[in-house]
Amino acid sequence: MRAQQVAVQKKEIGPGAITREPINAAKFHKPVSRVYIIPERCKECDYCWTFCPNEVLELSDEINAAGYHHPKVKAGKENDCVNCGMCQAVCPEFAIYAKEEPRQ
Amino acid sequence: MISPQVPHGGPEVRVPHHINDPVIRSERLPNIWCPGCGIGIVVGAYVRALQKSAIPRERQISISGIGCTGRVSGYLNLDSYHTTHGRAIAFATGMAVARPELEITVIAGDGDLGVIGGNHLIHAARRNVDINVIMVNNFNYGMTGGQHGGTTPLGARTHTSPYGNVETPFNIPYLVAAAGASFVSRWTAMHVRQLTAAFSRMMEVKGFAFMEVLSPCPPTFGEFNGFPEALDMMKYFRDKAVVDHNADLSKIAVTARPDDSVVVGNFVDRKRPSYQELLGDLRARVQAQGVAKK
Amino acid sequence: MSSADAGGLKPGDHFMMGNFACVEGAILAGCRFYAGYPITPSSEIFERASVRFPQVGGNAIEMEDEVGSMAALVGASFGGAKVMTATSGPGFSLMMENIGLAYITEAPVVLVNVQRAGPSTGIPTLVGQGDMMQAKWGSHGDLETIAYSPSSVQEFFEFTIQAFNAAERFRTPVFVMADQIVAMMWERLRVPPAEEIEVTQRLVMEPAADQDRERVVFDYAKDFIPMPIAGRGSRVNVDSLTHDSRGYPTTDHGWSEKMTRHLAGKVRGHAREIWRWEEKFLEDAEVAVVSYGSAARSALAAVKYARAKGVKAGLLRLQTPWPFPDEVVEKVSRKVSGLVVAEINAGQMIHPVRENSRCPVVGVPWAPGTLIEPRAIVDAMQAVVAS
Repeated sequence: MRAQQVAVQKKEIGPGAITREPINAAKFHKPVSRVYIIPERCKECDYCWTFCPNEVLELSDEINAAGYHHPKVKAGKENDCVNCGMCQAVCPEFAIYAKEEPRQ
Repeated sequence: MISPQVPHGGPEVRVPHHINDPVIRSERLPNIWCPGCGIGIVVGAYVRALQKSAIPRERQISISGIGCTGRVSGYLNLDSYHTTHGRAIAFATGMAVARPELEITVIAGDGDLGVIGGNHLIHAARRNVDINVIMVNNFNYGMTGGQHGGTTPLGARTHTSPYGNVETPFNIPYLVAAAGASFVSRWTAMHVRQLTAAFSRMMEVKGFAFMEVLSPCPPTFGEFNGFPEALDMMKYFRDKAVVDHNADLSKIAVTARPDDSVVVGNFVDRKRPSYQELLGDLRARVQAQGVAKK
Repeated sequence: MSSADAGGLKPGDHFMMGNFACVEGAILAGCRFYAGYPITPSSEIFERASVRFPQVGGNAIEMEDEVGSMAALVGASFGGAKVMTATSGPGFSLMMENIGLAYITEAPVVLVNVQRAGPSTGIPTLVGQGDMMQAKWGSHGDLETIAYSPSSVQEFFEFTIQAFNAAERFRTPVFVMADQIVAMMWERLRVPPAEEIEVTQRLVMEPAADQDRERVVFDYAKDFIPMPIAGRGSRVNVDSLTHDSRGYPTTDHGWSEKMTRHLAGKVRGHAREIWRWEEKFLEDAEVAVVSYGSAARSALAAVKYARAKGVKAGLLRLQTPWPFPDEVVEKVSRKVSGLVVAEINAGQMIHPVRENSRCPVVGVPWAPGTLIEPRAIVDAMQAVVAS
């Protein structure tokens, strides 16, 4: 379990990077989260996808009943949400939040 | 290969409800505010502070005045009061004196609290009434379509200052601190975590706890004043805000010009007896003497 | 109904100023919150409240102006307190804004207006009755007003208690339209034993289940709706905007009609229970004086003088000018050949009197800032009889 977690972290840092494993790395885990949206509440203010620190989000091509493009998770970024809470906090509409996936 | 032991994410999930919905009147959403309005962000931050607070939800009271921010109370699943223009603090003072155990938060706009209700604001700060006051400052009267007010920066263009505002605005944190408030702070709609942290602190503070939250108002202020999109002002807050808890309050007036910085922070956090405490002491003293001869 | 609150004035006879009697009435009615701003000639009410309220566990607070005073009262009323303030003309004008708030949010509030002379600042130390129409029409939008008008110190005491009872029952602002004479005068006050003073308690809304978002919190089919008190878990939105049965703001025509009709209807539908009036020498009267407040004291003197001179005069004294006792006035007007309206203003209550009368109605305009002189009323009566 611990080893697997460290392995995942190393993989994400990428080849060629100089890395040093913290001695307490095993105490922490990188959360993996899902993004939940309520498309009908969105007003396309652009805040969530602009301020997502991991650039997980982008605007969808779809529009809601009011004519606004709501956000969606970028292709290839499905595992990059760490549930930092920024999208939820910066959304003026209660239209988006992230929740950590349950650990088995 | 991702091990089945490690959770993995996926595309967004569409749901009918938000995790904050129990604290808000979600059946009234979408809210009335314009796309990119910062008021909704303040509501979200307040809701998270409510969820963290140890104070039972039924003792949490929300009171608003009139205007865009005046609509906040109606979206909170609390005992909520949408009162008259400028009078939210006076209304709250009455309730706070009658029921000192309630945790009362006034959420209203800059025109509401700082201009038409300016007298109530300074006198409540002077008395140090134990309430929380969140003033969302969007630099203009938004609900009525964008007119200048007592917080509109010098030179700013609005529908009633089409040639540039000739009035010097209030520096509200300086004013409220001078009047005697226990707690005075300023943040922006971009400082989402600091907002929640400060709201939590305000619920603990005994006495008048005040926060000015600078907020984008894209259609009626930003558009004419160098912030054409809502995002422009949010980025301005992100890039130009300087956190200085010990700032000289006389020097933190907001110009809202794209090149000028904005000082934010929790400026004042001091112990002063609250109005309710002093009134309670007075009653105890009088009653100890016994009812005067009739 | 319950009997009067402990901590009130002892039963028996007292020699007291009108303004003081008003405060003692309020305490017996259970009032424990006063918010005000000093203004002549009502200030003794605030001063006495400042002494007495802390003694009985209440608060009398001074606000920055009358606008804030009335807002604080509505807030404290939703906090569950029985609340009052006292003011005079200029303060009454400033309070109009939040009288409307109390009306639309259905907050029980008692406002004592010690009327003084003249418009604007006028003559603060002299008497007037020039705010009678303002009490009915002063706050914008349709308002149905309940107002009492005391003619003596005893009535100032009793009507203050009744004003609280009406405010709590009808959940609406109620006015005690006193005047400088009644307020500053010292007279005998007879306080009945506490168990003989009837006190109305308000109907309070029960806490709501959290999930029940669609519940009807304001059932406009009923005249008397329980009041959501802060801090009990009612989770009701109280709104100064026109609102629906959940308390949410609406621009719906149907809800606007329902809410507005409910607010007015609960008073109009029970007007007969509110009306109080006094009839003197009306049995055989051929001319009657309609009067109220301190002016009615002069009117009574005038009626007695006229009777001594052979004119069959009578007096109808309106103790509740609002809601206007139209049926009472109409009935009297059918018996007499003319009505004389005696009031200390340029002619205010004469309008609803005339509207509801079946005989000629004449006024006695009077605005020197003094009690209306019986002579002027007698002259008017004689003119009516002569025509």
